[in-house]
Amino acid sequence: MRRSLSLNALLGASLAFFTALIGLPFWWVVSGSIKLPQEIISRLPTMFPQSFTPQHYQKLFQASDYPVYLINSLIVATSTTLVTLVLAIPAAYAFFRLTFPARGVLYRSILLAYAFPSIVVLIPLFGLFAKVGLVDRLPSLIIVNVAFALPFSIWMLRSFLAGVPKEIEEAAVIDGASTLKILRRIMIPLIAPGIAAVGIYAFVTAWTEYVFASVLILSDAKRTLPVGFSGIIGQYQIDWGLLLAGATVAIVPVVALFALIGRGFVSGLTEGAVK
Amino acid sequence: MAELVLTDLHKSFGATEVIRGVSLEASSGEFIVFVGPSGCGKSTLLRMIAGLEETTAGKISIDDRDVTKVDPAKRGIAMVFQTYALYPHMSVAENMGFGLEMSGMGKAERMAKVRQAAASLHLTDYLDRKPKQLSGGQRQRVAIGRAIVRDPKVFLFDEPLSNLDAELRVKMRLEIARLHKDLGATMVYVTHDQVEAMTLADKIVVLRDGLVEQIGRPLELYENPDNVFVAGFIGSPRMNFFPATVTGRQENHFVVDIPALRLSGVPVRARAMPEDRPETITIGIRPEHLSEAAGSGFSVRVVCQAMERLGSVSYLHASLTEETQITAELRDARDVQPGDAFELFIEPSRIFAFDAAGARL
Repeated sequence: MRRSLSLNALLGASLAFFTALIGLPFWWVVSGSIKLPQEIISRLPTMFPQSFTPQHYQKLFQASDYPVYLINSLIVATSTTLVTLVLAIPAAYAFFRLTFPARGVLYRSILLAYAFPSIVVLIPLFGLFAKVGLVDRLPSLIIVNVAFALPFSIWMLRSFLAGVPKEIEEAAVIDGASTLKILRRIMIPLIAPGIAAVGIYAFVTAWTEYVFASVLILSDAKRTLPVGFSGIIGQYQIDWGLLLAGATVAIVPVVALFALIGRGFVSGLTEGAVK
Repeated sequence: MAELVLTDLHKSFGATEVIRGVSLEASSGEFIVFVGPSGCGKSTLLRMIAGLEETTAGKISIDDRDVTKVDPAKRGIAMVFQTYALYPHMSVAENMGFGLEMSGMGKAERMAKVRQAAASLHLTDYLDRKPKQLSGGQRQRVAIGRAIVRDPKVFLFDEPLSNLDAELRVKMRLEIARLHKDLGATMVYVTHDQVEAMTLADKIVVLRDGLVEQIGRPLELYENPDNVFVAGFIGSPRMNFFPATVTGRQENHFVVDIPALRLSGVPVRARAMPEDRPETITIGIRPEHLSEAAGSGFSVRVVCQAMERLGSVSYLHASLTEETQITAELRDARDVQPGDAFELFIEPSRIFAFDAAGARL
C-alpha cells in the first residue's frame, strides 16, 4: 500500500513522540546514574553526561543492602513466574477442553479476584499468614503474587489455546495421544507466545509489587527491591546518584527477560499447520 | 468381507438431527465417496466413523468389530483433514511418526516405517523440514503419510484436496488413486467435487439432509439415477428439468406433452411402469444429450443467452420463453453469439422421467 507523504510524516511524528515519551525517562535514569552528583543536580540539566563516575554503583553494591534486596526480588519474581505457569497452563487447558459442571460460571468468576483492591485483602491475609507462620517469609509473597497473576494468566492462555486450529488436536487424538500428551507435546509448543506473555506479566507484577511486600515482610534482610530500595533513598535527603543507579539495576532483569523470551512473542508459530 | 458397516446411524446436535438413519456397507479395499451439498452431513458422518463425533444411535463396525464407542485411536482408522492439520512445530518425520510414538513403538522401527512411507510419497528429501517450509501439495502428502504409517484398516479423507489449486488437485487426485491401488485399503472420502467423486470412487454415496439418496457405482448414478436430486446433483452442468403432461402410455414408455419446450407426443422411457397412469411427471434431459446437429429426435428452437466456451466443449445457456431456460453442452458451436436463434435436437431415449414426488419412473 502506498501512503501519502503527509500521512507518512504524521506517522513518523507520532512514532517519534511516543518513543520520546517512553524512552526519555529511561535515558534520564540510565545516563544520570553515571554522572557526578553535582552534574545530576545542576541547574541546567545535561542530556548527555559531561562526567563519568562509577561511584553510585560502588556505593549501591558495597555500602548498601541493595544486593540482598535484589536477590530476594529475583527469588520472589522467578518463583512467582514458574508457579503461575505451572498452575495456569493446565487450568487454562481444563477450562478450554474439558467439560465439567459449572465450567462457565467458574471461568467467569475467576476474574472476580480483581474486583477487590489489594489493600482490602491485606489485613485478612496478614492474619491468615500469621496463623500459619508465613509472615516475614518470602513464600508468603510468592503465594500472594501467584494468586493475583493467576486469573489473568488463565484467561489469556485460554484464548491462546482457542487460537490453535481444532483439527490439530483432533489429529493428535486420532494419533492416540492422551489429553496430557496433547497438552505437553502439541498445545504448549503452539501457545509459546502466550506462555511468554504470561510469564513476563507474572514476573513484572511480582517484581514491582509493593503493598504486600511492605506489610508481610518485617525484617530488613527479607525485603524485596521496591520496599528495600525506598528505605535506601533516605528519609531526610535524597541521594540522587544512588537512586538512579538502583533504578537502572532494577530495570536490568526485566529487560533481560524480554530479550530472552521476547522471541516467543513472534507469532506465526502455527504457520504451515493448516493451509 | 465387509470392512466398514454402518447400521442405522443417527446424530443429533441438541434438537437438530443431522444424520437421520444412514446404513452402508463397504467391502475390503473399496473406495467410498460421500457427496452431497454443503450441510448434507457428509463430513459429520465421516467424523462419526473417525470417532471425533459421538454417535447418537446406531452402530459402526470396522472389520467385524463394534467400534461405536471405541476411542478414535483404537478404531483402526486414519484421517486426512481438509486443512492438513500438521503439527507445525514438528519436522515432517516427527509428524508422520507421532502416532507410532504414541502407540509405544521404538524409535528405530518408527523411523523405518516413516522412511518407507516417505519414499512412496516422494517426501524423503523433506523429512527434516517443518511444515511451513513445504508447499501445499507436499503438506497434504505429509498428512497422507501420517495416515499411511498407522497401517489403518480404513482411511478417512475429509475434502483433502479442496485447499489445493486446480493443477495440483488433478495431480493429487491421481496420486490418491495410485495409493488406493497400491495399498488396497478401504477408503472413505468426502468431497463436494463431482470430478473427484466420479474418478476416484468404486461406490458413491449421495447424501442429502442426513439421509442417503442413492448408493451406486459412479456411472450407475449418472446413467440410472433413482430420483430428481441425484439426477440433478451428479453431472455438470446440471440436468434440465421440465414438467410434462402424460397423454398416453405404452409397454415401457409414456407419451408426454412438454409445454415448456412446445413439444407433444414425445415418448419417454420408464424403468418400471406404475400401476396407474400419472397425470403429470417431471422429465430430465442432460445438457450433453442436447445437440445442434440435426438428428432423428425432436427439436426445439432456442435463443442463446450466454455461451461458456471451455475449449473442447461449450455450454450454451439459452431460453425458449421468458420462464424456460435450458442448458446444452455443444461440441462445435464457436460461431454462436448471444441473441442468435437456432435449433436444438433432443434424443427421446435419453430423457429421464420422475414422478411428482421426485422418484424415478
